[in-house]
Parts: sequence; structure tokens; C-alpha cells
Amino acid sequence: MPGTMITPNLSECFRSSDSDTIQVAISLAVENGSRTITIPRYNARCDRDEWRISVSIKVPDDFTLILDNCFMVMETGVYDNMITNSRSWDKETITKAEGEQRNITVIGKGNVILDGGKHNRLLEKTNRKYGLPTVWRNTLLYWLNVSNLHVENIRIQNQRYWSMTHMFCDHVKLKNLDFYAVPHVCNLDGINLRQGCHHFEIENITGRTGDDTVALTALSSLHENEWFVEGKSPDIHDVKIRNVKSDSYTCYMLRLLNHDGRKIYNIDVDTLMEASDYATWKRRNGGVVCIGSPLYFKIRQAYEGETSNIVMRNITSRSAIAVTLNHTVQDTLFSNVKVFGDGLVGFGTWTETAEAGKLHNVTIEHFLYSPIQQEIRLSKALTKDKYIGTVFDLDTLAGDLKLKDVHIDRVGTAFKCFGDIKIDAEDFSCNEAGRFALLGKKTVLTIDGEVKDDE
Amino acid sequence: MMNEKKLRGYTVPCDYQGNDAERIQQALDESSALHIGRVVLNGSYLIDKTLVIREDTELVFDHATVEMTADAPLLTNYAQANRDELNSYSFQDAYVRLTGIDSNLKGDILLCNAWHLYLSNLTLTGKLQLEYVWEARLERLTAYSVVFGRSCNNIIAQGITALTDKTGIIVDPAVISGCELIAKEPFSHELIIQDSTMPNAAAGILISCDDVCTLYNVQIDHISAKGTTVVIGKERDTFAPESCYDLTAEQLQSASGETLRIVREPKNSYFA
Repeated sequence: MPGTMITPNLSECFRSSDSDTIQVAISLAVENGSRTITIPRYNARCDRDEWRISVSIKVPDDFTLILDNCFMVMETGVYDNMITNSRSWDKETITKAEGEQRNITVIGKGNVILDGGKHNRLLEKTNRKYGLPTVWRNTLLYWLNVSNLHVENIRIQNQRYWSMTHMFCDHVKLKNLDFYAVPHVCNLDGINLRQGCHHFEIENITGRTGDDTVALTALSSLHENEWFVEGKSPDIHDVKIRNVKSDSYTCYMLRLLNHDGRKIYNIDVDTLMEASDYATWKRRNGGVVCIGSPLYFKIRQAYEGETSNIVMRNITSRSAIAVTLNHTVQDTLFSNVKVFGDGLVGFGTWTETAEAGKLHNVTIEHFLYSPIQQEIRLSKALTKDKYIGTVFDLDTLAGDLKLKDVHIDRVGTAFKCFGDIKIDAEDFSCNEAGRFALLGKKTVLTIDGEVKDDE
Repeated sequence: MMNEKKLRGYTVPCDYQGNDAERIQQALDESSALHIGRVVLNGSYLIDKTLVIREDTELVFDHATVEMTADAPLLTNYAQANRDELNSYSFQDAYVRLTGIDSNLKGDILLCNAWHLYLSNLTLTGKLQLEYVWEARLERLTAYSVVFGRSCNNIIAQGITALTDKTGIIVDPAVISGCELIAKEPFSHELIIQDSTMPNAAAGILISCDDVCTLYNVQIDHISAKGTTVVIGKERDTFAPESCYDLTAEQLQSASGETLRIVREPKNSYFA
């Protein structure tokens, strides 16, 4: 059928399930050389306006999958991805560098919704237990060892686990993706880049996720070790992110995490805008950015220099913590960070990791801290002696930190720093602080600016 | 016939009888009734009545010219067309998309009480105005001017070209064209406006509000204008800094040399 647009509505594609029907359409498109299929809204085989996916749609190399105004939902009671590369679960081939798959495009046209459907109770805590498969089967879009991948214009809702997972993928473009999760179970992330991902462009990511909206995590979990691609580096690098505007529930809009010798570097982020529904929920988002963690390592936490060359511009936060720095961060710039509304902490750390944490050549510039100082549940204004929040809650984090053009309006405590850290602040002002600084014996704080009400 | 339309995946005006406006409207209505979700316009149309798009519909202007001949908007959505009756939260139109391919729309577009709007690649000889709109994306849009009025939240606008010689883009939650909607906050927030140009405009982007209809969390970058690129506040504005905050404007260009004019001071804002 040369020249024919292949859709699963061609009668010769019809099989006993929607998944099989779509897979036959893909095979036909490979045979006729078009290497493109369009999944429309109307499902002629079943005379309905949805496609129920019981077995993952497997996309081959050099292939374009057009989702045309369609609604696709995971079938109840199944354990599989919705869309994946054709060899992603073929361990013999996909775990070798030469088994790399190339040139896969998934484009949404019109109103496209991918729905996780009813949850199947396959979670991280039930992963490979009670006869269940790996929880990675529950990520809706799963890509392993793919080069040149493009996913655009899709809304993903009711995800069962991470919405989109990438491992050992490179030259990937993800654009105009919207998420909506009702966080009734854990780990309802948006986009996950796991080990070996590099040269990503991520733009216009919106909605509500039940966990991190975008997570860059180079770790060595059981699954990642089993599916490690021989001959490829597990580092995550050269990732550009522009416009993440989301509610990440109790977690983070952007997560960077590396352990066990894996590196994260060359990360360029522009515009992280918190859009949490805090006024209704009366609780703060977890945070906007989190780098590092005391958890999730098998051998060791990241060493100094293994998380480096990070630029993040234009961050707005009303979260519990705008930016969390948990381990070694090097050659990093945060520019134009604003904490407002019910925001609590500007830059913080998790106490458990503080001894491992060390900053080197880290600069924070154009930082405005101006929460409204109210009791969040009652919306009641606080008096100065009851001001809450901390601008720099760095605990025992060590190293050196430069602050430029930092302005604090009202805060409970401006600095809580107890580590061997040298902080140089220029063009600095603090209007009102319940207590300006709580410093450790090894902490050196140099201020060039104006501090009012210093007690 | 019903199945043919569903298999085709869209309705077209030539399936119906009447003048241009009636045929397009029937295509829109049947697309909605049959849950087809797409209407395609191709060719030239003269309309004398405002087209009304319902939720879960993509209206594709495919090499089309649509001209409004009456003194009314060219296009609006169902909730706006019935604004006085359907003025509560439950009647918002979701998933409304307008997509253009080498097309020209001569008239204004007014969209209100809508959720998940997507407008791309449109050329509009007229004004686009949004009110009570959540989760909207505007991409590659040419218009006379664009107004983000009352309660515009969670919006990403990229590649806007505004051809007016006055103000290209107005962001002002105090602007409202009809009745207020019940149970909806009047604030506007979480707006991103980027990569846009106003080649003739005396003011590229005007930011304004009042002390009830407040504005916060606005990111503006990579904007060029003939006159002042970004203006914060109007001469008659009286809003307090606490009513207009968390603005960012950077990477601004102006042919006149003035990239930023602050008439009223916002709070907690950064301009570079």
C-alpha cells in the first residue's frame, strides 16, 4: 500500500485488542516504507472514541507516531508501559551500545490525552513482590537506549508511576507536555532522565505532578544495573530546560541527583515558575529545586566536582524551600531567585547530608526574599517576634558561597550556617529579621550592604 | 454519514447548508455533538455572526480566510457566548484549540471562562482578548494586539507579533469586557511571555493592575518593540507595590532605546 496513510482503523489492522491493532498498523507502515502511523480519535474497530492499551505500543527505529486528537488509556489490571521503543525490554540487544535505537518521534496533534487509567497497585514498595513485575513497567512512556527522540504536545494524566522515563537516551527534544496527577499514590513524577541521558532540550512543561516534575537522577538502582548499556557513560549532561511551570505537590519541580560515581554537569535552566495551588490546599509545595540527597546511593554519595556547571535563572518559589543543596555542587550560578507568598526557606539543605555537602564556586545573584509572613492556615499576619522562615538555612554545609544583589524583606532568621563555609555578600540588604544570623565557629560571613534591626 | 465524519476525524462547512457563518457553526456544533473534536476550514468565508467554539474542539484554519463583516467578535467560546447565564466555575470550556496554516482571520477573538487553551500559528487582523483563562499556550501568533485581562493564569505565550502602533500586549487583570464570573478570583498570575516582537508599538508590553485585581509571577524575556519595550503601570494607576509583584523582565530590545519604563513601582521584581 505505498502512499497510503496508515491508521489502526484500516480493517486489515484489526485484531482482538487495541494494542495489537495499533502494533499491526506499525508493522504495515514499516512494510510500506512510510514509517508513520496516525492514531485518530475514533476507534473504528470498537466504535468508540478511545484506545485501550493492554500491551505497550512498541515503536521501531526511524518511525513517527502521530497521536491525532486522540485519547489513549491504560487497560485496567495490566502491567506495562503505554509507549516504548521496540527493543526496550529485549535485554540481549538493547543493553549494548550497538543496539541503540534511533530517530523516534511521537507527536500530538490537537487535544491528545494519555491516561494511566485505574491504578494497578504496582508501586515502588510492591516492586517485584507478590508476583508483580518491576515498577518500571508502570512508567507510561519508557525509552531505553534511544538516540534522536522527539516527544511533543501531549497531556498525560492519572499516571501510574513516572510519566516519561529515559535511560541512556541522547539528543532528545521534549516540548509542550502537560501533566495532571491526583497524588493518591507516591512517585507520580513527570519527566525522568535516568543514567546515561545527555543532550536534552526540555521546554514548556506544565501541570500538576504527584512527585518531581522534572528529575535528572543518575543512580545505580537494581533495574539500572540490570539494564546498563555497555559502552555508554552513565553520566547526565548537557541538558537545557526552559519553562517549567508546575505544582509538584510535596516534591520538587526540578530534581538533580547523582551518586555512586555518576556525574551531572552542563545543566542550563531558564524559568522555573511555581504554580502550586497553595491557597486552596493550605500547604506549601515541597520545593522548586533540589540538588542531591542523603538517600538512594548504593556505594557512596557524590564527590566534589561530580555535580557541576549548573546555571539556573529565573526561579520563583512559594515553597517550603526554594533551592535545596544537599551535596557537592561546583561552578554553579543561581540568578534571579524570588521567594514570595508563603515561601519559607530560600536556600536550604537537609541536615542528614550536611557533612558531605560542600560548595565550590557557587554564586547566588539577584535574590529577592519577600514572603508575606502569615500563618498559612489562618492567613493571619505575624508580628516580627513570630516571623518565620530562613533565607539561608545551610546547616553544616561547607565551602564557599558568593552572594550578589541579595535583598531580604522580612524573615525569621536570615542566616543559619554552622559549617566551615565562607560566605561573601555584596550589594546586600536585610529589612527586618527576627534574628539576623546564627553562625557556627568555623563560619565566616562577610556582608557589604545594609542590615536593619540586627539583633 | 455519522461514521464517515468520525472516521474522517473532522467536520467541514461544506457538509452543511446555509450562509458561511451558519455552515461553520453547524460544523462546530456537530463536531461537538459527535465528539469528533476537530473542524477544518479551508477557503474564504464572510461571516456576519460570531462563531462559537465549544470545549474539546480544535478549529483548524487551513489556508483559510475568515472575515467578520459585523461589529462583533469573529470568534468566541461557548462559555463566553453565554457568559451571563454560565458564569460559574462548572461551565468552563476545556481543551479549546485554534490552529492556523497560512490563514488570515479578520476580526477579534474573545475567549473567556476557558481552561486548557492552545492557540498556534494564527494570523489575526484584530485583537485577541483572554479573560478568566487558565492553562493557555499561545505560539506563533500575529495579531493587532493581545490582551490578558481578568484572571489569566498559567499562561505561556511565545512568538507573539503585535502589529498595533499603540500597545502590543496588555497584561491587566482589571480589564474585563462583561460580567464578573462567580467564584473566580480576579487575580492574574503565572504568566510567561517570551520571544515576541511589536515592530510598530509605542509600548511593547503594558503591565498594570489594581489593588483588587492583583498581578504576580510574570516572566517576560526576549521581547523587542519599536517604542518602550515594557511599561509597568499607567499614569492613572494607583496600585500598591504589594498588588503587583514578582515580575521579571530581561533580554529586552527597543528601537527607541527605552527598554523599561516604571510608572508604578512593583514589589519584589527584577529587571535586566
